[in-house]
Amino acid sequence: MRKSLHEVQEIDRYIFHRMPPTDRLVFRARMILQPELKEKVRLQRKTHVFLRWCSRKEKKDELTSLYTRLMNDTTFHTTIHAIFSR
Amino acid sequence: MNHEDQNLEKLYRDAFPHIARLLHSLGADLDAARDLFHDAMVIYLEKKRDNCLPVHVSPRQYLAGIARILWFKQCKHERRQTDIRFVEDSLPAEEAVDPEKKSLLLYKYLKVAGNACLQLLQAFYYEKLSMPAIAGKFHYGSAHSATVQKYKCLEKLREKIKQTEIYEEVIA
Repeated sequence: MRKSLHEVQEIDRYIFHRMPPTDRLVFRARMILQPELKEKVRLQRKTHVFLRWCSRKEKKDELTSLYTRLMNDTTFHTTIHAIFSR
Repeated sequence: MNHEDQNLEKLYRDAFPHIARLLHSLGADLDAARDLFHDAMVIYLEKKRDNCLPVHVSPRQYLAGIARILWFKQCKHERRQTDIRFVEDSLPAEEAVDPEKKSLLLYKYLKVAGNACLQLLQAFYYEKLSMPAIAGKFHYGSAHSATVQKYKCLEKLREKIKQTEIYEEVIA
């Protein structure tokens, strides 16, 4: 694996707390000394937040399709509308 | 329809009427109840994936608890937004930055330009599949090849997010 990919892997280990405490301490010191590393960590965190957002969005889209399909079922549709027509 | 989809539909059929009734009694309309139910379902499915669901609570009870919390959280947020809007009315108008909209634009771009990478990253980081399972699903020769590809994809996406930030700074 090339050097930059090793760094991506190392940042992941830091973000997800998979580093031994001493390595973590050293990594934090490196972030202080190398602002570009700190910036990469920030961006990689943001990437993970974005990935979770994408996955949740897809799950909600799937649930919306399921809702639309179930609302075409007369029994289900009637049950749901009866609740909100009160 | 696979087994997982069947279970999801069964749970939806069973739980949604119950939770819709609960949320309606708290003041929600059908659209709000559906959206909150979907949010609760996402939380439930994530907890189930991580084996973190409480043992003695049924899925329906769990979903009802989450939906109720989300409803109160939403009411509180809306009240705060109303207060903020009242203050903002007296300030000069500025274009609002909507993070949801920005994420959606990037998501749509990636679905076209980098869907394979996006799927691989989601399989590992969200679905929490093992690397051998991912290698099988995405037809990689070995778990090691899939791991290397995963880091390449993560680096690529990180770079894309950086570019998006730079672009936003330029147009701001």
